[in-house]
Amino acid sequence: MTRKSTKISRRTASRARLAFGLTAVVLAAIGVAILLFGLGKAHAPVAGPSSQAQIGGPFELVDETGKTVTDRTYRGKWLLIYFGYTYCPDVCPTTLNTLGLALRDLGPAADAIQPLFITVDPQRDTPETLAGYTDAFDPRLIGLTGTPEQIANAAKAYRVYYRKAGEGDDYSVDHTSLIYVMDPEGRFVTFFGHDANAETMTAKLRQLLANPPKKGAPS
Amino acid sequence: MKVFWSTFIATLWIGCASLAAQTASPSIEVSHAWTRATAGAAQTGAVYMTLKNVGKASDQLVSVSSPVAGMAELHATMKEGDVMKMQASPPIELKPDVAAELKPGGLHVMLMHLKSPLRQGEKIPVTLTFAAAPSITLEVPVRGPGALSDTD
Repeated sequence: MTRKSTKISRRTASRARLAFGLTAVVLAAIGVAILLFGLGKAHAPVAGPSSQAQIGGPFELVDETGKTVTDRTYRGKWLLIYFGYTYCPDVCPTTLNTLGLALRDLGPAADAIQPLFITVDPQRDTPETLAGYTDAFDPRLIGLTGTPEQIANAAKAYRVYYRKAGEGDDYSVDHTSLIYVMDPEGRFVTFFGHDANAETMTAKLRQLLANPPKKGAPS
Repeated sequence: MKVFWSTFIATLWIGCASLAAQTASPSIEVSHAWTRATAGAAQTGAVYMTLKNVGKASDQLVSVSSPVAGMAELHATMKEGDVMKMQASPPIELKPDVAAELKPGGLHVMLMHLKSPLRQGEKIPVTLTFAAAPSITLEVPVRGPGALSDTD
């Protein structure tokens, strides 16, 4: 009897050890999963141009009508910001057309958005030049220019690279070609690459507009 | 005498054959040519098209010109990370049976110093000069300012 009970208690103990071991393994796996997915979530929107916190910031520029505007002028609206120049015959019209198509696809929802085209060529792009240019893609698109210093500051805030290429009057400007999406409080949310199509852009914007960020929530 | 005549006929044959080869090849076919209407007062434009060498020998698209532009060049847009760069392209290689595509975000004919805005619905003449094939003048249809292809 004693021998038998000892045998049973030993078996129970080994089962308990096994159960404890298995529980520990499962808990560890859950922990690793939370850690991985949690980190993945936190890092997901950061892919691409650096981190969220570093994109965007104060700027002072001149709009199509010659009026001085700042980043605060457009608070309360979602911003779609693209840096380019009107002498750009290939990339800029392609990207701006995609942006225009997406705005039209969004219908009335696009009222919450202010699209901005900031020139990287202030030497040639005057407010008047920009006014005619932007309207060709969408009447809501506003062109912004400024002094070379103002443009340099805005580009720096958005981590946009631009550099004059070529000599004389027929130079072109190499530039970062991304559309930045800023929320109504001026915080960077995401960006679209130059090869994004209108469908992708519309779907993403619709999703963002339907789930606006909480006021004052950390970005 | 018999030898003379057979040599004469053979020479004639070879001559005719090489002449025929010269006229039949090289030969370039151009399709899907289009350009965009000028946005506002923009001074530049881009012309896109597909070129196909239907001849037997390789050829090159060497230069371009258009009476609507003070200057026209072959340009290539290149992507380096998120930065788009544009620069003059060397002559475009046209290998037999391989289509060379000039399309948005890649190779294009860059029109500079436009003499007047390109208007949607109009057609503009563009002349292509090749290394071997005779030059071709196209009537290129002008699509909307935001067109993305020749069907927009």
